[in-house]
Amino acid sequence: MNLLPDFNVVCKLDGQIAADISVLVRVAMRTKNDFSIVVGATDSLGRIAVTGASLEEDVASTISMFPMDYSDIGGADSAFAGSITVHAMTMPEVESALRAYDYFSKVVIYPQNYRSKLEAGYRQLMKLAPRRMEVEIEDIVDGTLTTRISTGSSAFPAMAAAIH
Amino acid sequence: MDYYHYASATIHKLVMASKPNRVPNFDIYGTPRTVYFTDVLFTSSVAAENALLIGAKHPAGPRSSPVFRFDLDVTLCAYTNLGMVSGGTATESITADSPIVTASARLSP
Repeated sequence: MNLLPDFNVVCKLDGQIAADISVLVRVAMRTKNDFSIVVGATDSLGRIAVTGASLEEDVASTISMFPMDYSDIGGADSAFAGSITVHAMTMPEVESALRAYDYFSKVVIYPQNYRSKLEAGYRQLMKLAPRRMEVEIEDIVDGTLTTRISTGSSAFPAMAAAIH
Repeated sequence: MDYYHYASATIHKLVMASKPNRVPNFDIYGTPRTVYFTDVLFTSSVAAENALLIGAKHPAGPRSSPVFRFDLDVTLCAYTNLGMVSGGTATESITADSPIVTASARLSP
């Protein structure tokens, strides 16, 4: 059983379904650094399916890479704060992610086409210059989808939808 | 005061390949992160793990051990001393900056 949930993200820019957008998932921790994980990009329906298992793999990899700097979500002494926030990546965040890719890619195996997906998202954001970025979270409970939270924002950067 | 960061082989490889040598203050997705360090010098992984509760002594269960020690120059970093690691035997400090690595050494197991 995973500690982190499976969920879908639906991304909208100015109310319109948006493809090619990457999303930043932040796993809040009570001690040390939060975990930030890029997922995506959205498909033609603006959707990304996120699995708890994939998030947990990322968490484990981050702890191994930076042994002093992260607590753990699991175990009897879990430091997981119990909330995950999700938001569509802004242009500055995509720029930072691309710089990090250039730094870490010599030793880190990123998902297939990770860089080109980020670049496609960046082009989308440049082209559309959205004033409002939204994400909807669809919970998956017993195989059934339930839209749990839909949060919008009126300005850059996008607000986050939260899972508690 | 001397300061040290205990690192994985992966980060050691990256830091030593970059000029200047610095501990990255961002994660693999480009999100800013805090760098933790201590004023206690350890020469073995197990000593660092026992005192700092990291790696094999991680409170949530065993994780990969640190493999290298970085000697840090934090002169230009704004940092905060957090005091003693809860349940451990060494003090810990944090910075949002990217400390300069002045030397590195492989830890004995």
